[in-house]
Amino acid sequence: MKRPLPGFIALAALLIVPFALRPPDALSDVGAETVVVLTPHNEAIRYEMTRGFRRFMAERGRKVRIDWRSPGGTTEISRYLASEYRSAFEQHWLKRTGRPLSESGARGFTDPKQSLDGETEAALARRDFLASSVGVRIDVLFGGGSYDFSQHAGAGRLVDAGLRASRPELFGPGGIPQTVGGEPYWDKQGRWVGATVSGFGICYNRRALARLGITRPPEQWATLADPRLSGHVALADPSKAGSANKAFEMILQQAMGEAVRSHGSPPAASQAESAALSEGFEAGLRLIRKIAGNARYFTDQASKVTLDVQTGAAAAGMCIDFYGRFQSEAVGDRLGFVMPRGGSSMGADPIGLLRGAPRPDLGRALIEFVLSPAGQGLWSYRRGVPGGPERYALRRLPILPALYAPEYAKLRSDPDNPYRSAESFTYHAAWTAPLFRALSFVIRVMCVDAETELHEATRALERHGWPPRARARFEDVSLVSYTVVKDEIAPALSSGDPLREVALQNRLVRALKAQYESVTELAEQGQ
Amino acid sequence: MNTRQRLGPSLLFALCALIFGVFFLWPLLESLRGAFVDKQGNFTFAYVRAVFENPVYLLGFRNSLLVAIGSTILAAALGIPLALVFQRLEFPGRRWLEVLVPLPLFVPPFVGALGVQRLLGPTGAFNAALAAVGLSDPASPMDWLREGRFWAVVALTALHLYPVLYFNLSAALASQNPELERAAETLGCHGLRKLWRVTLPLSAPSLFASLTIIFIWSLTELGVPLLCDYGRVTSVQIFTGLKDIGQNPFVYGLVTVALVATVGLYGASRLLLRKLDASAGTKGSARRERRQARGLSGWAATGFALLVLSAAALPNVSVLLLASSSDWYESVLPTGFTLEHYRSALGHSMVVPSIAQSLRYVSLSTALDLVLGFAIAWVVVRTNARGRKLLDALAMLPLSVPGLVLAFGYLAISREGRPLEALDPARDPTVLLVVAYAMRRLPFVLRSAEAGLLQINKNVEEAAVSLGAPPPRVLWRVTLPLVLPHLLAGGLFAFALSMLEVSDSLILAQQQAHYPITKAIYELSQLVGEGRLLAAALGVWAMVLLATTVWVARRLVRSNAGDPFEA
Repeated sequence: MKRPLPGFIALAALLIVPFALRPPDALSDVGAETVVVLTPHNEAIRYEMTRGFRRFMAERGRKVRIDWRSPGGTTEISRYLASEYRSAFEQHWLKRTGRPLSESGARGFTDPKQSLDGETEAALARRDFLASSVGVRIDVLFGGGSYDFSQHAGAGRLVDAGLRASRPELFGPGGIPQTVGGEPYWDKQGRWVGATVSGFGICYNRRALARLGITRPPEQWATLADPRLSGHVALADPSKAGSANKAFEMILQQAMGEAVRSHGSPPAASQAESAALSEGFEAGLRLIRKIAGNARYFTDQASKVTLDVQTGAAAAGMCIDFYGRFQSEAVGDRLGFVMPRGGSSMGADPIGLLRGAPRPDLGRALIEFVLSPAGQGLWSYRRGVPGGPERYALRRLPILPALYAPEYAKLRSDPDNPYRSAESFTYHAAWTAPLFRALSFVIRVMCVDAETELHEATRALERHGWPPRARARFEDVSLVSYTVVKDEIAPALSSGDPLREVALQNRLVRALKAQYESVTELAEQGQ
Repeated sequence: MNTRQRLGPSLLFALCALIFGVFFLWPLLESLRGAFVDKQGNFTFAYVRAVFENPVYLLGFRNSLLVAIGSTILAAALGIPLALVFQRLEFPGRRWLEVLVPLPLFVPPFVGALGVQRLLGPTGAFNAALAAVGLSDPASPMDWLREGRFWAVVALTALHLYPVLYFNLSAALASQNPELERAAETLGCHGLRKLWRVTLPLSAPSLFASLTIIFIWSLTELGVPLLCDYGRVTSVQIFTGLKDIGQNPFVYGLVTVALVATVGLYGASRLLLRKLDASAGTKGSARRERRQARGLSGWAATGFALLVLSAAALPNVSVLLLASSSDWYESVLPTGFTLEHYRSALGHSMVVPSIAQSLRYVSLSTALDLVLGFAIAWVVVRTNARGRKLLDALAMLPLSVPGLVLAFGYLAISREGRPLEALDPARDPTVLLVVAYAMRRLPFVLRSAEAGLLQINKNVEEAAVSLGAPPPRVLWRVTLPLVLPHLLAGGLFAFALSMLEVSDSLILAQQQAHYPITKAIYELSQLVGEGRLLAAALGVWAMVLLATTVWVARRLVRSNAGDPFEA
């Protein structure tokens, strides 16, 4: 019997290759202090930030390492933190009181609406948690949206890192504004601060657009509703990816802003403003419905959109700015990216110190580093320039206004200035922010759950030249109007009763499917 | 039977049940608890009931069932003739072509997806080829993965899974007693009649075991529908439901319903299997020689094998081309080639430790699968231990449990203050990853081991007992050597699939130092820019490593116990 010697040689060769190509590790971890960081950021950001932070701390005579923890994307991280804190607090409660935490206590201890007064278990648990140093053996949360960070801060999982006191210049005149274009850039209680800035736009494949007879690159969100793009628009599911929901919110905010202006900008909270907001919201929903009618898919991964547009699997898509910029650099002329003028705010991507951090001193040092010129340069400078990234150009926009001074322009990868872009768009948190989750629900039932029927309706309308009755039926968004969203959907979602939520979902999906089917029928009858 | 002899199986049963209960049922129940607890913390069945009132979920069930039926029929249509051709005929190129059979199992699912998109997307190679011969208009190319989504899912699932049937059937065919077929021939039973009346019935346990696996796997397959953006199937609804921004208890209700359906289907298949007793015709002493297929029939066999194997290897080939391309857009082949992606991917600091970790986790999990799979199979087939049938049915459940559900369950049981706190994956995920991989791949080893035990003639074991050999000695010297090829066939599947396991790895391996290779590939794929190319390059390396490992293992096994797939 032959011995499998050639096989062993082949196996050995295969295993040797990665060892042979392994880069030498310039800095050893032996004896280093460790800061534990929970993050959805990718390997490129982790690599450059590790390198920069080590050097930053070495200059201060300390040897550090970052223990990155990545249990998934922003959604998985939020769930992970919620369940870990619950478990840790249950242990703390049991030790302190000698009895297990009740269901109402478990719901109340992270509920920002929970009153601190009274002797109910929920109030006691909330008070106890906020006064405690219950932790999950992680120091810093790094990356996500300001919405997620606000949720964690409200729950009490993030604590004041003390930066506003120790580094007041960062937050004073010339520093980072508290809000830009209506978007919060740092938490007034110091529990999180933006580390970088991003907005939303359209990535497009020039060759795919040309093939479809579209020669002008997209400029506005409405371009994505062009019937020639039917089946060629890549979209992310807003109920899975927070960034996608934010992008849809931008469409609604733009439409609401235009409606308010067209009504002569009536006073806030007036009846006239309310009517204008309803009108704008519904116009925005109609546009979203048309864009969704062109969708190739609704993916659960926001990054897939850019990658599929690049390969031509889709002709255009909605994406976060740095995906678009980075990918267009990687593939050259084929891929373009545009931020619709007046169509997107520039939001912060924050960092914050977690409650019960084992090494709060190192956590604070990391936050300081990320906000320092050295850290901000890593986000935005070209690869290889002094103070820039070593291996990956991150193509992110720094949050420090100072870095947009002319002397840094030649170092930065991108000329965009979020503080200037923000001038053309004001985010009105009061209009849609309280409805953020309700928006994802509405878009899901309207576009994702009824996807097939919506596509059939859109195609039928196209085939028959948008007959008037069919068009009117298609544009009727009364099932999910601003009033319905505010008064019915949002309260149902915040009731914490999943059965109420699902009953609403089932009713709306059935009604919307029936609506789209009737559109198809009317269109085919030429009505 | 004396007390000691009765105690042995009972103890073994208890041990298997304990391991399975602690590392599978407990985390599963922890994870599913949300489906049965209402807002006030009381038990409720409302979430499960609500699943049946949701039109989108109902459509998902219907589509999943259709995909499973279609994929199983197609996999059988490909796998059965292919196994017969390879096992019964000697034809030009047989040895070389046979090496290609397991290739579809060696490609990491999400990396395979990247390759297939480059083939079947609107700007992919297939459309470019059609346009080159005038069969497609380059201005309006067909989007194969979108327009024919259902059929694309069925075809890709069948092509991915037919090796499961091929290997199980090959092992059964090779271990059949050739004298029975010769006897049939002397009685005038030839050709298709012999195949239908003798050959296939003799292989029935393996055939039905693998068809059951394929059916259940297709029913719960996630990678292929995700690749085709086919969201209206239950598996994708569960996967995306777990990622809902708000907590969604209905997704756990959906998992519960899918689990019950799986157990029901499995129970039905067991009832069918019970009627099949093929042991009389197996494990003969005579070795079968392949019939020489000469001339046209030989080349027809080569052509058929080549056609099936090349269709099934499309993901592998496309990933190889993608990883080696500098640009591949609207052309049949890449317009430029480079090795730079391999250098960047393999030279990444994350990769070397991840290879070592993967080999460590997977070797341990495969060993655990072999021990546990054989032990459960032995208890089920050879003993009358009470509850053995339930254990057997439960051990199939991992096929229908999404990895993410189980991973969250493991996190729940290893939190601070819980009994398994010492296994906290944030500190070191080794134990949990090993048991997670082992539990998810246990059905493969178990089914192979059971099929092997069913095909051993009990008379051989009884002869050993009558000669005075105690039961452990019979097990060690008679049963185990006879069932070894089946066990190793299942073990190789478990090894290959665990090396490519994604969901447990993503959640449980949290520190970079603990990443297995799949998480390293995933991390690289997330890099905007060249990420997909680096992932493809590392995917190619993993494919070659797996193929070489399986090849070496088969040669080693062949020298000791006979080829697990040829015997």
